[in-house]
Amino acid sequence: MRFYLCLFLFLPSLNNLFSQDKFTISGYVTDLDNGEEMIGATVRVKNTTEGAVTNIYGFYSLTLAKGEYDIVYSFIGYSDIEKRVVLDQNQQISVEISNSSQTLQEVEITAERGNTNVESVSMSSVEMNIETIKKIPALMGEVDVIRAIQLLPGVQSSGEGSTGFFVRGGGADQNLVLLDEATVFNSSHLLGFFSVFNQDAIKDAKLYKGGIPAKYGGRLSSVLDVRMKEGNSKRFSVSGGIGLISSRLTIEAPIVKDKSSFIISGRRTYADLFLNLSKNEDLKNSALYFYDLNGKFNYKLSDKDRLFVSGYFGRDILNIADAFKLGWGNTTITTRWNHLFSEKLFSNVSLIYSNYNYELGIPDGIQAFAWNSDIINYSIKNDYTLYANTSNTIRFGFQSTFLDFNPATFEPLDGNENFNSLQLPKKFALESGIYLSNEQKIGSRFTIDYGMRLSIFQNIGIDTVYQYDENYDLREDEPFKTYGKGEFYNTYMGLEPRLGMKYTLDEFSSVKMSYNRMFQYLHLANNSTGGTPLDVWFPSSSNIKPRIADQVALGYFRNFNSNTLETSAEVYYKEVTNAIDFKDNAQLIFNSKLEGEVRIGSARAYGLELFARKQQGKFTGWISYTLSRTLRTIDEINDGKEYVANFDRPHNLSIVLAYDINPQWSLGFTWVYNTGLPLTAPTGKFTYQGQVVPVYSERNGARIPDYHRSDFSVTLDPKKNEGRRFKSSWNLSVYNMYARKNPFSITFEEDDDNPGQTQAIRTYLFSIIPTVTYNFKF
Amino acid sequence: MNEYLALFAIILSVTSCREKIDFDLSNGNTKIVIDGSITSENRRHSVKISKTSNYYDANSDERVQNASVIISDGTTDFTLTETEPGIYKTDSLSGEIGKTYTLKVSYEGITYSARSFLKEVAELQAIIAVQLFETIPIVNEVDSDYTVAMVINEPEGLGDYYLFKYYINNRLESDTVREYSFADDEFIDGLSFDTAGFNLVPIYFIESELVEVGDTVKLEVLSINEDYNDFLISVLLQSEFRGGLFDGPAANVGSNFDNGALGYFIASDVSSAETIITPQ
Repeated sequence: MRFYLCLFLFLPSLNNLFSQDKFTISGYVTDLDNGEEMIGATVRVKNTTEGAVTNIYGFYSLTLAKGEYDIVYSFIGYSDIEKRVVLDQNQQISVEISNSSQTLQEVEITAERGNTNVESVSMSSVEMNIETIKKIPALMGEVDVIRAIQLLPGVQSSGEGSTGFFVRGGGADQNLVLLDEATVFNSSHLLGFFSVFNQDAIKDAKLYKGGIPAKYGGRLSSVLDVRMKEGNSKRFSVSGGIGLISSRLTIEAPIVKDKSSFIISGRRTYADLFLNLSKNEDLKNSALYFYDLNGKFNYKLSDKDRLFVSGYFGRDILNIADAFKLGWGNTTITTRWNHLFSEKLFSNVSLIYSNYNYELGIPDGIQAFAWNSDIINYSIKNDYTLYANTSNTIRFGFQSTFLDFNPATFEPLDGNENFNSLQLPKKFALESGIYLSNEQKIGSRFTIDYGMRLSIFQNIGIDTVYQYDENYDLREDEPFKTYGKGEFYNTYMGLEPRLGMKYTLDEFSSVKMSYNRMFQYLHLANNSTGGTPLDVWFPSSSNIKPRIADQVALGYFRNFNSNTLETSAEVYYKEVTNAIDFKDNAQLIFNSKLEGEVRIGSARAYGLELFARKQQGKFTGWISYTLSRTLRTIDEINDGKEYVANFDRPHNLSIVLAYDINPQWSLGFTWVYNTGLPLTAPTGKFTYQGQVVPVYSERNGARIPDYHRSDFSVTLDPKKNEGRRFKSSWNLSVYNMYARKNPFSITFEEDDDNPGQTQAIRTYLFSIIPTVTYNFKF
Repeated sequence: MNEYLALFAIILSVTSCREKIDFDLSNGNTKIVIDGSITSENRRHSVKISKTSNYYDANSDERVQNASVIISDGTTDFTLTETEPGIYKTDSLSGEIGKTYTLKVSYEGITYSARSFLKEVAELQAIIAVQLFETIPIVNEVDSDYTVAMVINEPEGLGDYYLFKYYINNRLESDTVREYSFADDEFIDGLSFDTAGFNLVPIYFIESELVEVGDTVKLEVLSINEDYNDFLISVLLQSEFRGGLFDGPAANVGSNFDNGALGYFIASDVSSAETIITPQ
């Protein structure tokens, strides 16, 4: 405790904050073309080390001593804007910067670039805007944020084609995925092959793998913060695309010019058309598709107040032979109000609703039933940023979320009296957090960002909580406890220190260090590596303690070639207390005693991540390499010996390249290599009542063959696009260019033709997949 | 509900491909496997003893001969005799409701034992076997199948577990785990079923080619316990249900034997009912 208190002694004294010989420049940076706010644009004071970066609302605030300055506003891929400022009073300066891609090929930008990645205290995080992501060859033409994230160091894909991801050894449920601040509980469509993020509605995504800021909490391993576009505030515009498996359409327009605008974006797949090719009659009458809709509205109430309302609705439908139905999806709604108390104090209040549900059933007949499950949360969040002075940026706020879990409701339909209706006990909880942090510059080379988050988790009645003995059987003396409505019957608290430090070695290099402690109170009941839509989230309780992760990371950052080539090397070590796994042959679906299937132990992960990225010029891209291990120890699994996690892949290499040949033609290329996934391979077999059963001696003791794949894309922006409003482009993407049969899984089974004989079977999903997509915009 | 996960695999099989590959495996230690049961019926009860083999061996069922096998009800020991390689049988006797039975197998100096409580089962009052001409996806795809349904008063209170077996003209048809129908009473607790109004829970579907008018169909219901129910599920999860895209981790199936033996010993009460296939 004393250690934590000491941290805050660094906080600047109040006198310092309000000294009178300094003035503040603040404002917004937006895109000249469509009025979108620029996230992470840099604001530099020429010939000094002072500077600022715009926040997610495009706002910046910079406090300087009285004087004359040249301020340079810049953003990757945009032309710089330089302003001369005579600073003798507080000033509001908002600028519009313009996309330089049209002029890119004539003038290779070699001007001095910002060295934000070296100078910034943040590490283990990557910001990607949608334009970068669009340059990557896409599976079936469907540009995907998460698929791009998987190409970054420290991030593993959960399997071929999947949008599940694992960050620095954390499980899929340890990623906090946010869409305009709303939690997305299941970010995949079509059984994991696509993510919920529609390329036309998304502006930007930032992934934190470590050094997670104090404002975020609730997940152990990462935060993926995805932000939607605001909508074109300059003019009416329509864009869309027609692809092999999906089509998209987006409409955006000002409502009141420069004051208010909206965007609506929809997407629908028609992958199920392929089912018609099947010889199986039932498959022909089946459907498998998804659609989603993003909408956002913003209004500038005044110079100091802005209102944003955004929402997402998505649904997947699986319908087999018109007789069995399964549907699932997320709904999120976020209402935000930005308020500037002064040019130094920025605040935002958000009200957030988020819901993930699935329903399945047989609509009619003697077995007719409906079954549904959902997790709903209602959240209030209030964040403040105080740009105190050039040396201190203080952030504080709180968040409180009410969670409503319905693990399953089962209802017979159609007068079916053969089943009882059944409701697994619902769960209710309140998760809250308050935080305070300060980013402080000490001298010209050293920056420290220190903060603390206090998280509080409370289980609320009505509830029935089963009591387990040491063998995970129900206690005979008291098998369960019941709690009344509204009763706060169990409380956990967690102190989560966060720390980041940077020391600049020279203009082009720095070393950084970070530490964070994270608490996670929600857990996902899923033990398969592929994501299923039947996700059941369950809360910590008197039986399940919160999971706690401690992570330390060290990094060296170095830029070359006038900051156009950014490189970094990071090492991390992470330990998880109260790590959970599920017992052998666990039953996770429709199980009222789910907590009895959980086994608790510890986990650790460590690794080295190398990253080199070039973001400017005709030739862009990155190379990332990760060497990592992820290990777990749980008494009841693998005889208590440490075992490698299901998604442990020691070597992971990604090469992503894009080349603009001329204004019309551009190329994209990726190559991915990683170690094969661990596999529990049988060491024997026996026959039980006609069934050949494998015998295993070690969990995840073998590996499936290594995975590698190369993708390629060509994009044509025809010359006729120049100078006209309607612009169209063609994209040809080839997934798995050299048609490698990468195993999705290797299974061991009995030979159907030769009972008793057993064999190894490789399942692979995709061979080479070429796709053509047509995109337009006007 | 695991069959619903299998559905995804079916959809994905449109795009996925499967092929046999060579994959080197190491060999583990040989273990004893015991499959034993005793029921309330008066007959010779049998115990099968085998051992594990290497995974790629052609033979998956190596029998163990010359073991000493005893079933005890706590007061009396019944010694089993080997009637064919690896198959050991009692004399004719019937298990009694409310007793706990112990199976002891001694082989090469090690004794393996397991216990099981013989619990009463609800009486199967009657069964019907009719063609409903209705399909149920995945479970019953052919609408001419005979649906075998039961008339039973399910006792009030959760915690009853059932294993069903069916016979055509006294020949056991459901003779492998993948063909078993077994269930707990979570969805049917305390319900009474009858044949009126087609108020049915299908237990089995029999292909119409397998039976003729005049054939006798018999359904047996056996009382089992939660642990054996989980054991049967794990046998299926690790064999028949394996190979899907959403498998959980591979794991050993359980056992109620000590000293590292695999397999299971289960004591069951049995109730049965018959029906004759009539013209529809």
